[in-house]
Amino acid sequence: MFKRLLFVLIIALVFGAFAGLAQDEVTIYATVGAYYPDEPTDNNPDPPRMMNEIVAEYEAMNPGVNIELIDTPDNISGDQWRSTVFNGQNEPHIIVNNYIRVWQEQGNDWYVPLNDYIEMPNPYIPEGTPGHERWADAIPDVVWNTTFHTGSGNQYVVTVNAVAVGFYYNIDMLEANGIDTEFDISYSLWQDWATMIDEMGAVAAAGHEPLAMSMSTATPYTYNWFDGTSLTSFYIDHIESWWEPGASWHALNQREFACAIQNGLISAHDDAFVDWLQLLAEFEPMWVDGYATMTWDEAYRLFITGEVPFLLGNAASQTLNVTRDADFNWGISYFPPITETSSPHAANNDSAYLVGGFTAGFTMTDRARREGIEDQVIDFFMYMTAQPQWGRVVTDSPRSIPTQFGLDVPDALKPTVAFLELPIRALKDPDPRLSRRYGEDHRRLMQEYFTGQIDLETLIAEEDRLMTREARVVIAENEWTCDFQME
Amino acid sequence: MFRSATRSSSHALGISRGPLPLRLWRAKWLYLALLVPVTLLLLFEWLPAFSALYNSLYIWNGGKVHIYVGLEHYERLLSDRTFRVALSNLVGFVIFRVVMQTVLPFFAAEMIINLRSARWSYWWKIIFVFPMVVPTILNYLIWRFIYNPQVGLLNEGLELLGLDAYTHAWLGDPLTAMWALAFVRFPWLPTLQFLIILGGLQTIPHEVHESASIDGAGFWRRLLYIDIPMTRRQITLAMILTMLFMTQRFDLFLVMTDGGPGYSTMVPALQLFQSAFSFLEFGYASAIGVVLFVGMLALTVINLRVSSGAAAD
Repeated sequence: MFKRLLFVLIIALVFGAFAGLAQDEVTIYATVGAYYPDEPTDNNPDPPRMMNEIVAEYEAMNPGVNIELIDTPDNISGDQWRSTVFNGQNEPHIIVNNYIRVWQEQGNDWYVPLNDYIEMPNPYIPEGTPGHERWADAIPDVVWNTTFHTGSGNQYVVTVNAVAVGFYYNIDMLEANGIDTEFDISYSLWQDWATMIDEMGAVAAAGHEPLAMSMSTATPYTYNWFDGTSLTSFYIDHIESWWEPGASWHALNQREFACAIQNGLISAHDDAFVDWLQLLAEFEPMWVDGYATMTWDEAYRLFITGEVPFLLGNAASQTLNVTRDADFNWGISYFPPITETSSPHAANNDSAYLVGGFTAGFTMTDRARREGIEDQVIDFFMYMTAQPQWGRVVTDSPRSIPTQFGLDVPDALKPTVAFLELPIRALKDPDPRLSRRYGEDHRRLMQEYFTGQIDLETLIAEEDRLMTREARVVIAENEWTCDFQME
Repeated sequence: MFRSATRSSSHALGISRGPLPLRLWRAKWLYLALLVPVTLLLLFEWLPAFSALYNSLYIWNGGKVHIYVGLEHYERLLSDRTFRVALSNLVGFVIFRVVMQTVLPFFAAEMIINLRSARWSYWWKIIFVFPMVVPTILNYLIWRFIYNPQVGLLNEGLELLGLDAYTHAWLGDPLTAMWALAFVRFPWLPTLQFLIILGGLQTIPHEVHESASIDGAGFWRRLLYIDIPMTRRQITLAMILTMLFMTQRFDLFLVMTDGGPGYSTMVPALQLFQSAFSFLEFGYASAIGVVLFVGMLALTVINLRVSSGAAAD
């Protein structure tokens, strides 16, 4: 009897010890965006790998800490993925997200403010390098100012990358059709928007569809880039009066834009807004047939197979693919400025506005707080993003321009650095500037207008109804007030 | 047939005699065996369906926000332009596909029944059933490629035939997009409907066809006066199934056009999906689901009534 009891006791102790050991194990889940170390495929023969080494090094230094890198699915939108994992309380501890999205989503308590953490020293940054004493010093102020959420006074995002978009152009194809491929201004093939339309018109007259792009509502970002940057050009003189008090230059957040609608500072009936709609309608004939349901991949194939001379794409990560796939000479240009030649409401634009910039960064999610492992998560966060590690990640696979002091821009991305000097657009993509539903319905309305299903008058009426409704919903949901714009 | 088989099985098990409690006790293992699938069915099929009814009365973002709003979502549906357009798109699409997916499988089954060679009949059955093993998503992607305006097979084929003027952005033009979707999986020979109708035709006694033939009935008369009336139940079932499948279908629209251009290929099931997973309006999505359910139920009942009434005539 005694022996049996002793045996049970020993077994219980052994299990208890293992359970205790198991409790000391910490697993940190993280997404790393474009740097996820994927397996090679035909479409992606040389995926980034460096994150595997970074993780292995960190795990070796920290026994008991496991790092699991999570790939985000391609077949659903980022919004859908986040809503699923956050609502299921199964979100990774660190996720990459666009700062505007984070602003929109911070009301759900999904993200942990990083204000105190970025004031701490980052021990993984070498002495003498900015950021060693104070983590925030590793990144230029312009990045922090851009991504700081004035609404809550919190910093949720650490942005170690910058991206830009641009027009890839097929030099051989354009020159064969007698079209000039010299830059008219420092960052663009064209002096202004009107010149661009003329030159693309010449391409069309030569029998080619000019521009491969996608306005599919499933992969709408290419269209969204035009939408936000061109709308900025029509309202640039008014933007500052829409900001929350005390703010420095930034892209409008959801509250500011919603309140501007509610306070009548922007309306679909404005002359400027109508001019903007017509500017987009004049551009639409330059887009390839079927753009309304075309995916980004299909648009890319049209460019790379020499069917069309222009492609609008991400000027950072796509550069790798174009370098690999194109068997012709190519270059990258940026949008030209929209000037008074196009509309009197666009008279004060010295330059185009930047799509991209310091958009996506790392956040710490509420899961770290729920599980009480914020310190461990921040430690890995600091390690991964510190210059010695991040420099290797970006050099291994140049998919974005590093923003931290002490890191060089990879050669492949140098042509796009000039784009980053442009002022950021104040009005972002349709979804982040107001709401996901607004973005979706706005794109569908624009498609209806472009394809002749509705006329301009109906478009204005529907757009006004949509903006007013969504602004009201967003303001009510967040219990915002809008008095600040009237002071 | 089924009833008599069940009765004889019960006899064989010795559980059909005596008072009800005793019969239940004797059959306890059968009921216990049934309990597992019934519980799973309740848990994973019925509960979510009924929870949609409950959630349709709430603003629910799939997470913490859960606010009772009564019938507000249903009122919103009445004035929702997207839902109106989606419903009208769906009606046209379903009518077209129900007709095609009943008539063509019927003729395919007729062809097989009329083949004299059993071997050929077998191979034709294989040919018609084979598409069932092709993943649906692959089928859609192939059709996307067929319709591609620049390099798609359809436009290439038209150009080869010298019909360049008819090349088109089939999915990108609101005038052709819904038709292009309706033609996906042409020539509309869905395996299930085909097998149901074939099964019905095979149950018609050979003697009936022989008598008709002796009486001088040709193919069309036999079709009209024997085959169609005698397979009415199978035809009705095939129609109902097609109607249900097509109404619930959103993958086709999501993959091919995402409801565009504009709203020209939007259908309620896709709107439901987007409301829930893109806009986090699970309450509103539930209301769309409830309306679809009620609509489908009503149409199914009407269909059954009409067909059983016609059969009685």
